[in-house]
Amino acid sequence: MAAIINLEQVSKSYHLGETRVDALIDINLAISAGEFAAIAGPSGSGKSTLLNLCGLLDRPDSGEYRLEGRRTTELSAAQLTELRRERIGFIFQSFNLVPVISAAENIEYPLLLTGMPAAERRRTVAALVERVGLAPYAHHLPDRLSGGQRQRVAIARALIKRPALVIADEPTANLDTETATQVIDLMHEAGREQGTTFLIATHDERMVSRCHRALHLTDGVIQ
Amino acid sequence: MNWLLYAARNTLRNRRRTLITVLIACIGTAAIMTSGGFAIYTYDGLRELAARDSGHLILAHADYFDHDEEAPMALGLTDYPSVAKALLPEPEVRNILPRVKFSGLVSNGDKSTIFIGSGIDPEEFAVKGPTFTVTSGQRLTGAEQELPQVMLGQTLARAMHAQVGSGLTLLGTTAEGALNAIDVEVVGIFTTGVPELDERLLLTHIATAQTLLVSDKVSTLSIYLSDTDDTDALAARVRARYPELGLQTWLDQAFFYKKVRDLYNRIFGTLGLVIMVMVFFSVSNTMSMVVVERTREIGTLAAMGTRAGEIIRNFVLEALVIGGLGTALGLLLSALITLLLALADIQMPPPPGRSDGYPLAIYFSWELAALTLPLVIGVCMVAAFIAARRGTRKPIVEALAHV
Repeated sequence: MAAIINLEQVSKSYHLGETRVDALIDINLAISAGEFAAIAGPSGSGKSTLLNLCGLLDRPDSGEYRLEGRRTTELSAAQLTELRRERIGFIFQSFNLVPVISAAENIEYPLLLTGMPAAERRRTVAALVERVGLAPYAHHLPDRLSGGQRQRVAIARALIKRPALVIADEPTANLDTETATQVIDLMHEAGREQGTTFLIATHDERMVSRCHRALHLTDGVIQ
Repeated sequence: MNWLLYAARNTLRNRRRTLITVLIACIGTAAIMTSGGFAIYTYDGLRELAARDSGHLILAHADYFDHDEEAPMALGLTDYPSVAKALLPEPEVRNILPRVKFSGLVSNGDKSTIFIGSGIDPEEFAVKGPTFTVTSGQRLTGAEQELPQVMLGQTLARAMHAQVGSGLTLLGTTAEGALNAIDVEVVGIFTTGVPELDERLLLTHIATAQTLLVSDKVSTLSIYLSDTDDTDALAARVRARYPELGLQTWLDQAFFYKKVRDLYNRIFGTLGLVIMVMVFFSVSNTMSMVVVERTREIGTLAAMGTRAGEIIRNFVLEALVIGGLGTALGLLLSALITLLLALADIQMPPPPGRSDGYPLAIYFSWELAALTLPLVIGVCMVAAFIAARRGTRKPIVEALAHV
């Protein structure tokens, strides 16, 4: 299967005060379309930096990153924004939902950016809300939802535009075991149905064990 | 969901802060509307006063407005009855009245002093409305009297020790350059509210003035209109019809009106600018805090592919909601102030150069509202734009890590 993510000799460093920290060192990585890949490793190993690069939120200092075969290092900030808008979904550890709009409206948000007509948007959102089991809570504001419900909203928001790639940063970190299992099942199911690639940074062994592949990062190097 | 609704909901996150910002926009709008309304009321009052005093259009000899007369009535109008008769049917015209302007000495036998006289048609009082206050006696009447009647400004009357019924003598130069004198009777004493005028002004019948000057001419022909706004249109037609005559509008002669307007425009213009700056900094401060507080959310939205321009637009729409609400409340507040002042009958102290106060009133002007509302809302939106632009310049990774 064709690689959706292709990193060649990618390095990234940043500065903490006057100290230079090498977050990623000469990373080579290929992830196929539809793959469910976990990135595991201790805190400070470079997981978030790798996710940021793969999600086009940051640029590497050196090396090459191809997303769906397209060289991203040459793209402008505006082009990267368009790529994220069209092709990438994000799931954050602390959900990052917009607090003043309802669960359904949070899920709808990415479609609003695409300019999809309102009626079609409503249909698409309603179907996905039903699908992730949030129908009774669709009109609740995020602060009235449990942690598991919020993460399901976040997953639905990431998947609503049928992206090629979903970047998930510790998606089960704030959830109890039962809810975490439900969330993992949901992501698996959606990935299988939509053919979406998942790149997941996690400490959670349950999550790692359910992935097709687990990459272990230590001090910015894949072991 | 639509973007405006999204913006409206965002304004409810910190209700207290939003309320304070709305109130600042409200007070700013009300301050501009009331100060502007007071200026418009003043302009309107002075405009009508000036137009009533001189007539909306003043017709005279071609050289009358630009040259001094070498002898009294040298630049007078002779065929004024035919001009008045021809213009009276014009639909905008309410009345046309001649006036003789003259000067001379007034004497009580013991003492003489200079006067500035106007020979008028007594009908002018009805046409002009209240331009002065009669402090004793009565106005000139059209009825035949044994002695010609005069009205004196109250300071002039005091100087002449004159009372109603007193006999005085007017001395003047005739149109031929000879001296002439006539005896007159004081029928009324008045005040214009301007001490300098009260010291010199004398009103008499046009016929009395013509007798003193030994002339059948008049100085000017005042054309009074039903609506001051018709002045320019009718002036153009009259100029075309009587190119041989001189014509001025009330505005050409309204020096006090123009000076007050210039002064008020500067005062209230500066005040408006200060209010706008105050609103700008207030909204700017609010939006800067909002942007800092939502840094992480901005990062999330940017990560999802929201363009910087779209994020900025959302903040600008919030400012539109705040500004819109604030200005709407400001309009209501200024309407309420207008209403309360109309009921309260508060008197203002006399303005410089005047001896009478005037009622404080404020006009509610939709024209002013049409200028003020977009301006205040625009200032709010610009402040939000600047604050939001700073917020979107932060790298997404940093924004997402913001605590």
